Amino acid sequence: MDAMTDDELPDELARALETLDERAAKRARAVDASRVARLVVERLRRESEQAQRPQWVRHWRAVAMAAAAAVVLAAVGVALFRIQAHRGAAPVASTALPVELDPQTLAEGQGEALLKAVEEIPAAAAQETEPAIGSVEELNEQELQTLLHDMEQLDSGGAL
Amino acid sequence: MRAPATAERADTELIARYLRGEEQAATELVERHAVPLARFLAVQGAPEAELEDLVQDALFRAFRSLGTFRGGASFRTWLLTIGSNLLKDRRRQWKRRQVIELVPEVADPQADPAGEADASWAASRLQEGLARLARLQREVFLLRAQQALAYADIAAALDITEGAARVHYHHAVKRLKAWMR
Repeated sequence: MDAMTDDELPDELARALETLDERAAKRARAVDASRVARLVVERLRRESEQAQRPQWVRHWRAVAMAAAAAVVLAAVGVALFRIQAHRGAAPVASTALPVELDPQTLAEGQGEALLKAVEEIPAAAAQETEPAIGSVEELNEQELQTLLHDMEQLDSGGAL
Repeated sequence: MRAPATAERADTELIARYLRGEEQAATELVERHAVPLARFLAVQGAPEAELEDLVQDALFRAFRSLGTFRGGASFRTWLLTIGSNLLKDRRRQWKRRQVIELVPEVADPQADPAGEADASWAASRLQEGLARLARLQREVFLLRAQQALAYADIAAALDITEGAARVHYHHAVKRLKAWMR
């Protein structure tokens, strides 16, 4: 360290700083200046190359992610559209009449009869799904005997 | 330890050459200043295992911000202050992950063991005291006492007045003297 004229350090402090500086110098000698120079120059070169690339190339990851997101959104949109179209078409198909009718060609009475028949279709379908037998109490003696006989046969056959 | 005037002139030329696109100028600048920077950081307690990495980062930052280097201070002084700031940031990270210095100081076996121990204790005590100083006090003290820089140069590098630099120095000495007792 060079001597300082206007503000000399107290001896104790100066000696401690000298020892500390020698210790630091020993550690600093382990630093390879050539290697540091090579690494710094490489980093500067990389950064300079990146700065010279077009904007979209520098942000290619963001661009790629945006493109992928757009493709996924488009696919989801198409799928939703097709599902909705399918759902919308199905009821029409099930309620469509098997023959083509022009309402203009029907007489007033015919039209009313047709509407009534169409309204009766769901009621008839519901009736078909109801069980044929309401309760055991409604069976007569012969039917009860037949039922018991059938149940005994099932038990002996091990079907249940 | 201070870079002579011819070296400062050469630094200015090298900076100009680098800004014109000559990579070789950057290499020369790094080779000239890497070890003194490492020494300056080691005095402040930078761990040996991290020293080269710190020096590399400080130099990289310096080259990136060469456009802001006004030339009021020498390149060396400016670089040392960048290094100090980087060390301060890294200390915060090391505190979080508890960096332990694995390289102990080994005393010279031919030296006076008692005297060596005293000197080593005083140096370690000083290093602790430096770490306790306010940033500006520490930087002014080291730039003045270790690097033997003029107050004008220190003031320019730290963007303070010369009078403020003197005040920081004297406060630092006073606090370190009290700490060493």
